[in-house]
Amino acid sequence: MLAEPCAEWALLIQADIDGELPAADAAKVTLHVAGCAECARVQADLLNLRTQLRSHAPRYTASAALRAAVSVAPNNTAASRWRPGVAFVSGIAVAASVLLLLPITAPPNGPEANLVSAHLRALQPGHLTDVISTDQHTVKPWFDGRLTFTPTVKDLAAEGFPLVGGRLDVVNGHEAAVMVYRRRDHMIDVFAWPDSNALAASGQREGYAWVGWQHDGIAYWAVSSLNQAELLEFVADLK
Amino acid sequence: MIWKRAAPPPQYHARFAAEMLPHLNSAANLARWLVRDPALADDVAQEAMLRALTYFSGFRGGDSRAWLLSIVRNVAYSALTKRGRAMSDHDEAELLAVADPGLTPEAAVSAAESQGLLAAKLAALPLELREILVLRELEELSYKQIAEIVGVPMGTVMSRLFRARQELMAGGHRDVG
Repeated sequence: MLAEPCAEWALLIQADIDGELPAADAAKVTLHVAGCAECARVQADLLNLRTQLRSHAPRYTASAALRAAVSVAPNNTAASRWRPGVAFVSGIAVAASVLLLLPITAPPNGPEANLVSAHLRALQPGHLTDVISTDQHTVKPWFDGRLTFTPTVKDLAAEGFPLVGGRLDVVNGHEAAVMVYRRRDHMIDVFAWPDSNALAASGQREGYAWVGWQHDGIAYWAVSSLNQAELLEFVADLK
Repeated sequence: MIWKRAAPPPQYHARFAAEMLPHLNSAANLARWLVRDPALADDVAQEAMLRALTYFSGFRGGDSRAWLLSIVRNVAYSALTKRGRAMSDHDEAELLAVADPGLTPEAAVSAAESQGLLAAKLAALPLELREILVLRELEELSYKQIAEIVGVPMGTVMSRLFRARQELMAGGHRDVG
């Protein structure tokens, strides 16, 4: 227990080590501590505790499941477990809202999970495109004004994959261009961002398929509910 | 029946993600230290991010991390109440009452002390003391930010902080609800 006179110094000593004191007051603390063994001990104790906490008190990070879940950024309350879900009725929205519940329980597959999540989020009404055009000569300049890199935008209507439009998105913490294509009633999102180290990959998850590749320093990922065989055909046409 | 809804302005999600996703780890950390149960902490963090997304249109800039952590704290407290945890009815004087073995740090907090023990002691602090210590030592927020998040005067932040530190150093523990 601090001696009576020094009890009033305790909070000042604490504030000093927390960097909360203006210089003049900090100087007074230093002066007092230099001449007071008890207060010097309090100061040393607090500093020691700080060191111990920094070494031994875990600073928790977001679990992979949490990160995947918030990448979906749902607008609806169906994903909340504390309120009754809102019933969606229209087709795509039902599929998307059901799948929104999965990330917190299903083990994710790394960064690809965020792409599927972003794709799902985009299927929400009104979120798919910021620019609607089947014309690559409209979509490409739209990106030019908004990004520091230039993704490939191709018109594949002749191959059966018409361009729907484009949008900006944020995936894994970086801004991405997204070109949106269609085959029948399946939307295909092609995400693009600068990354010269991206490796080719492909996979499937929960009824969605994806293919990733790199071209000219830009990483591309095509994500869709389209079957993988046709998606690979799409990617071959795009390259 | 077609359910219609006005779409938020374009890039609302992108702006929210850019502003708030960098603080996701802070949100998860605070949630975990407050509710202590890892599964509940995940739920709390997710619910908090949902709520933040909803309220984001009202966010006028400023300290985005403190804004987010405020939401996390509210959601955590709701979750704990819902789980039937008796909310603390200690008055401030009780919280600050000195158990008084004195400050003898060498025995309590030494290099030989196991990693788990300090974390366990921190987890065992009463919620009102624990949250202040976590916000200060783990999240490195200022007294002013902590006061705003917790909704108490700065003086209360300082006295609770000192009490929390005394508890950890003395090796004492209290009943936690």
